[in-house]
Amino acid sequence: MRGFHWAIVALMSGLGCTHAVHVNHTSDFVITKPLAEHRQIEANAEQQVILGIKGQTDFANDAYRRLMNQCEGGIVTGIQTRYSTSHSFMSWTNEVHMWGYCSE
Amino acid sequence: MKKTLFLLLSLWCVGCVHMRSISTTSIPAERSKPVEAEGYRFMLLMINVDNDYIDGLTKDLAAECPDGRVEGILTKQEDIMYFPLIAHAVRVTATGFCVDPTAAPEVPAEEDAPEAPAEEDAPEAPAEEDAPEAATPPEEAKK
Repeated sequence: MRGFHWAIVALMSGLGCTHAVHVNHTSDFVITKPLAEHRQIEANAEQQVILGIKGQTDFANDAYRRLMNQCEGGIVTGIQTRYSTSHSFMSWTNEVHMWGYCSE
Repeated sequence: MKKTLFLLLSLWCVGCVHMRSISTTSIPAERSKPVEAEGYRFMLLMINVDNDYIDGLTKDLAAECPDGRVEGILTKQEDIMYFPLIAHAVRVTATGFCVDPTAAPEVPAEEDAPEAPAEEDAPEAPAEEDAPEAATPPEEAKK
Protein backbone atom coordinates (compact mmCIF):
# COMPACT_ATOMS: atom_id res chain seq x y z
CA MET A 1 0.00 0.00 0.00
CA ARG A 2 2.83 2.35 0.85
CA GLY A 3 4.43 1.65 -2.50
CA PHE A 4 1.16 2.55 -4.19
CA HIS A 5 1.12 5.93 -2.43
CA TRP A 6 4.64 6.66 -3.57
CA ALA A 7 3.73 5.66 -7.10
CA ILE A 8 0.85 8.17 -7.05
CA VAL A 9 3.16 10.89 -5.71
CA ALA A 10 5.79 10.11 -8.36
CA LEU A 11 3.14 10.15 -11.08
CA MET A 12 1.76 13.51 -9.93
CA SER A 13 5.20 15.01 -9.69
CA GLY A 14 5.80 14.33 -13.34
CA LEU A 15 2.56 15.86 -14.56
CA GLY A 16 1.37 19.38 -15.06
CA CYS A 17 -1.78 19.14 -12.97
CA THR A 18 -3.56 22.47 -13.39
CA HIS A 19 -3.16 25.66 -15.32
CA ALA A 20 -4.29 29.16 -14.49
CA VAL A 21 -4.31 32.46 -16.33
CA HIS A 22 -3.84 35.34 -13.90
CA VAL A 23 -3.76 38.29 -16.26
CA ASN A 24 -4.57 38.84 -19.91
CA HIS A 25 -3.92 42.43 -20.90
CA THR A 26 -4.11 44.14 -24.27
CA SER A 27 -2.32 47.38 -24.91
CA ASP A 28 -3.37 50.29 -27.06
CA PHE A 29 -2.95 50.22 -30.84
CA VAL A 30 -0.72 52.95 -32.19
CA ILE A 31 -0.92 52.49 -35.93
CA THR A 32 -0.18 54.74 -38.85
CA LYS A 33 -0.71 52.09 -41.49
CA PRO A 34 -2.92 48.99 -41.78
CA LEU A 35 -2.20 46.21 -39.33
CA ALA A 36 -1.70 43.86 -42.27
CA GLU A 37 1.50 45.72 -43.02
CA HIS A 38 2.83 45.07 -39.54
CA ARG A 39 4.99 42.11 -38.62
CA GLN A 40 3.58 39.88 -35.91
CA ILE A 41 6.06 39.11 -33.17
CA GLU A 42 5.89 37.18 -29.93
CA ALA A 43 8.09 36.40 -26.95
CA ASN A 44 7.81 34.45 -23.76
CA ALA A 45 9.75 33.80 -20.58
CA GLU A 46 9.30 31.25 -17.84
CA GLN A 47 10.14 30.93 -14.18
CA GLN A 48 10.32 27.61 -12.36
CA VAL A 49 9.20 27.88 -8.73
CA ILE A 50 9.79 25.08 -6.25
CA LEU A 51 7.95 25.13 -2.92
CA GLY A 52 6.97 28.72 -3.58
CA ILE A 53 10.47 30.01 -3.08
CA LYS A 54 11.68 32.63 -5.53
CA GLY A 55 13.37 35.92 -4.88
CA GLN A 56 12.64 37.90 -8.04
CA THR A 57 10.33 38.23 -11.03
CA ASP A 58 12.87 39.25 -13.66
CA PHE A 59 11.46 36.78 -16.16
CA ALA A 60 8.67 39.24 -16.89
CA ASN A 61 11.20 41.87 -17.87
CA ASP A 62 12.96 39.27 -20.02
CA ALA A 63 9.77 38.62 -22.00
CA TYR A 64 9.29 42.36 -22.50
CA ARG A 65 12.92 42.76 -23.62
CA ARG A 66 12.73 39.81 -26.03
CA LEU A 67 9.62 41.25 -27.64
CA MET A 68 11.19 44.69 -27.89
CA ASN A 69 14.42 43.36 -29.40
CA GLN A 70 12.52 41.78 -32.28
CA CYS A 71 11.47 45.23 -33.45
CA GLU A 72 14.58 47.40 -33.46
CA GLY A 73 13.79 50.84 -34.76
CA GLY A 74 10.06 50.18 -34.95
CA ILE A 75 7.02 50.56 -32.74
CA VAL A 76 5.61 47.50 -31.01
CA THR A 77 1.90 47.98 -30.61
CA GLY A 78 -1.26 46.00 -29.88
CA ILE A 79 0.60 43.97 -27.30
CA GLN A 80 -1.31 41.14 -25.70
CA THR A 81 0.24 40.02 -22.43
CA ARG A 82 -0.68 36.73 -20.82
CA TYR A 83 0.59 35.85 -17.37
CA SER A 84 -0.17 32.25 -16.47
CA THR A 85 0.94 29.44 -14.22
CA SER A 86 1.17 25.71 -14.84
CA HIS A 87 1.17 23.76 -11.61
CA SER A 88 3.03 20.58 -10.93
CA PHE A 89 3.67 18.66 -7.73
CA MET A 90 5.06 21.05 -5.11
CA SER A 91 6.30 23.26 -7.90
CA TRP A 92 4.94 25.41 -10.67
CA THR A 93 6.02 27.34 -13.71
CA ASN A 94 5.12 30.97 -14.19
CA GLU A 95 5.00 32.13 -17.77
CA VAL A 96 4.66 35.53 -19.41
CA HIS A 97 3.76 35.39 -23.09
CA MET A 98 3.53 38.52 -25.21
CA TRP A 99 2.24 39.02 -28.74
CA GLY A 100 2.47 42.27 -30.64
CA TYR A 101 2.70 44.04 -34.00
CA CYS A 102 5.97 45.54 -35.18
CA SER A 103 5.67 48.57 -37.43
CA GLU A 104 9.06 48.41 -39.08
CA MET B 1 7.93 15.59 11.01
CA LYS B 2 9.13 18.50 13.16
CA LYS B 3 12.37 18.59 11.20
CA THR B 4 10.46 18.82 7.94
CA LEU B 5 8.31 21.68 9.22
CA PHE B 6 11.39 23.45 10.53
CA LEU B 7 13.06 23.04 7.14
CA LEU B 8 10.04 24.41 5.28
CA LEU B 9 9.78 27.38 7.65
CA SER B 10 13.48 28.04 7.23
CA LEU B 11 13.11 28.04 3.47
CA TRP B 12 10.14 30.39 3.67
CA CYS B 13 12.21 32.82 5.73
CA VAL B 14 14.58 33.55 2.88
CA GLY B 15 12.05 35.94 1.39
CA CYS B 16 9.89 35.27 -1.60
CA VAL B 17 8.65 37.46 -4.40
CA HIS B 18 5.61 36.58 -6.46
CA MET B 19 4.21 38.53 -9.37
CA ARG B 20 0.53 39.41 -9.15
CA SER B 21 -0.02 41.18 -12.43
CA ILE B 22 1.73 42.59 -15.46
CA SER B 23 0.72 44.91 -18.28
CA THR B 24 2.39 46.94 -20.97
CA THR B 25 1.58 49.69 -23.43
CA SER B 26 2.90 50.14 -26.96
CA ILE B 27 6.69 50.23 -27.15
CA PRO B 28 8.14 53.23 -29.01
CA ALA B 29 10.89 53.13 -31.60
CA GLU B 30 12.98 55.56 -29.60
CA ARG B 31 14.27 53.75 -26.52
CA SER B 32 17.25 55.79 -25.48
CA LYS B 33 15.78 57.28 -22.30
CA PRO B 34 14.42 54.66 -19.92
CA VAL B 35 12.40 55.89 -16.96
CA GLU B 36 11.24 54.05 -13.86
CA ALA B 37 8.94 54.64 -10.91
CA GLU B 38 8.05 52.47 -7.96
CA GLY B 39 5.39 52.25 -5.31
CA TYR B 40 6.18 50.23 -2.19
CA ARG B 41 4.27 49.39 0.96
CA PHE B 42 5.59 47.35 3.88
CA MET B 43 2.92 45.54 5.84
CA LEU B 44 3.36 44.32 9.38
CA LEU B 45 1.08 41.37 10.14
CA MET B 46 -0.32 41.81 6.62
CA ILE B 47 -2.16 44.95 7.67
CA ASN B 48 -2.43 47.61 5.02
CA VAL B 49 -4.08 50.85 6.09
CA ASP B 50 -4.52 52.40 2.63
CA ASN B 51 -3.57 52.05 -1.04
CA ASP B 52 -2.10 55.52 -1.48
CA TYR B 53 1.39 54.20 -2.05
CA ILE B 54 0.75 53.77 -5.76
CA ASP B 55 -0.99 57.09 -6.33
CA GLY B 56 2.23 58.90 -7.14
CA LEU B 57 3.41 56.37 -9.72
CA THR B 58 2.27 58.34 -12.75
CA LYS B 59 3.56 61.61 -11.34
CA ASP B 60 6.94 60.04 -10.66
CA LEU B 61 7.15 58.78 -14.23
CA ALA B 62 6.14 62.19 -15.55
CA ALA B 63 8.74 63.88 -13.34
CA GLU B 64 11.46 61.84 -15.03
CA CYS B 65 10.18 62.91 -18.43
CA PRO B 66 9.01 66.50 -17.99
CA ASP B 67 9.32 67.55 -21.61
CA GLY B 68 8.36 64.30 -23.28
CA ARG B 69 5.88 61.48 -23.42
CA VAL B 70 6.29 58.16 -21.58
CA GLU B 71 5.60 55.11 -23.74
CA GLY B 72 6.18 51.39 -23.49
CA ILE B 73 5.17 51.32 -19.84
CA LEU B 74 5.70 47.90 -18.30
CA THR B 75 3.82 47.71 -15.00
CA LYS B 76 4.43 44.90 -12.54
CA GLN B 77 2.80 44.25 -9.19
CA GLU B 78 4.71 41.98 -6.85
CA ASP B 79 3.95 40.51 -3.46
CA ILE B 80 7.00 40.23 -1.22
CA MET B 81 7.15 37.99 1.83
CA TYR B 82 10.00 38.60 4.24
CA PHE B 83 8.58 36.35 6.96
CA PRO B 84 5.33 34.36 6.90
CA LEU B 85 2.38 36.30 8.34
CA ILE B 86 4.69 38.80 10.04
CA ALA B 87 6.43 40.84 7.37
CA HIS B 88 5.04 41.38 3.90
CA ALA B 89 5.23 44.07 1.27
CA VAL B 90 3.71 45.04 -2.05
CA ARG B 91 5.72 46.64 -4.81
CA VAL B 92 4.38 48.15 -8.01
CA THR B 93 7.01 49.00 -10.61
CA ALA B 94 6.45 50.97 -13.79
CA THR B 95 9.20 51.26 -16.38
CA GLY B 96 9.03 52.95 -19.74
CA PHE B 97 10.78 55.18 -22.24
CA CYS B 98 10.78 58.93 -22.41
CA VAL B 99 10.01 59.98 -25.97
CA ASP B 100 10.30 63.42 -27.53
CA PRO B 101 6.66 64.46 -28.03
CA THR B 102 7.36 66.18 -31.32
CA ALA B 103 9.83 63.82 -32.95
CA ALA B 104 8.40 60.38 -32.23
CA PRO B 105 4.96 60.62 -33.84
CA GLU B 106 6.41 62.15 -36.97
CA VAL B 107 8.64 59.16 -37.68
CA PRO B 108 5.86 56.77 -38.70
CA ALA B 109 4.05 59.58 -40.48
CA GLU B 110 7.09 60.27 -42.60
CA GLU B 111 7.40 56.59 -43.38
CA ASP B 112 3.86 56.65 -44.66
CA ALA B 113 4.57 59.70 -46.74
CA PRO B 114 5.36 57.72 -49.90
CA GLU B 115 1.92 56.16 -49.73
CA ALA B 116 0.31 59.55 -49.31
CA PRO B 117 0.90 60.75 -52.86
CA ALA B 118 -1.20 57.86 -54.15
CA GLU B 119 -4.06 59.11 -52.02
CA GLU B 120 -3.35 62.66 -53.07
CA ASP B 121 -3.57 61.57 -56.66
CA ALA B 122 -7.01 60.23 -56.01
CA PRO B 123 -8.73 63.61 -55.77
CA GLU B 124 -7.73 64.21 -59.35
CA ALA B 125 -9.66 61.12 -60.27
CA PRO B 126 -13.45 60.99 -59.93
CA ALA B 127 -14.56 61.67 -56.37
CA GLU B 128 -16.42 58.35 -56.20
CA GLU B 129 -13.16 56.44 -56.28
CA ASP B 130 -12.06 58.13 -53.07
CA ALA B 131 -14.73 56.48 -51.02
CA PRO B 132 -13.52 52.86 -51.30
CA GLU B 133 -9.93 53.88 -50.70
CA ALA B 134 -10.90 55.83 -47.65
CA ALA B 135 -12.89 52.92 -46.31
CA THR B 136 -10.05 50.41 -46.70
CA PRO B 137 -7.79 51.36 -43.79
CA PRO B 138 -10.50 51.22 -41.09
CA GLU B 139 -11.60 47.79 -42.31
CA GLU B 140 -8.10 46.49 -42.15
CA ALA B 141 -7.60 48.10 -38.80
CA LYS B 142 -10.58 46.19 -37.45
CA LYS B 143 -9.00 42.93 -38.57
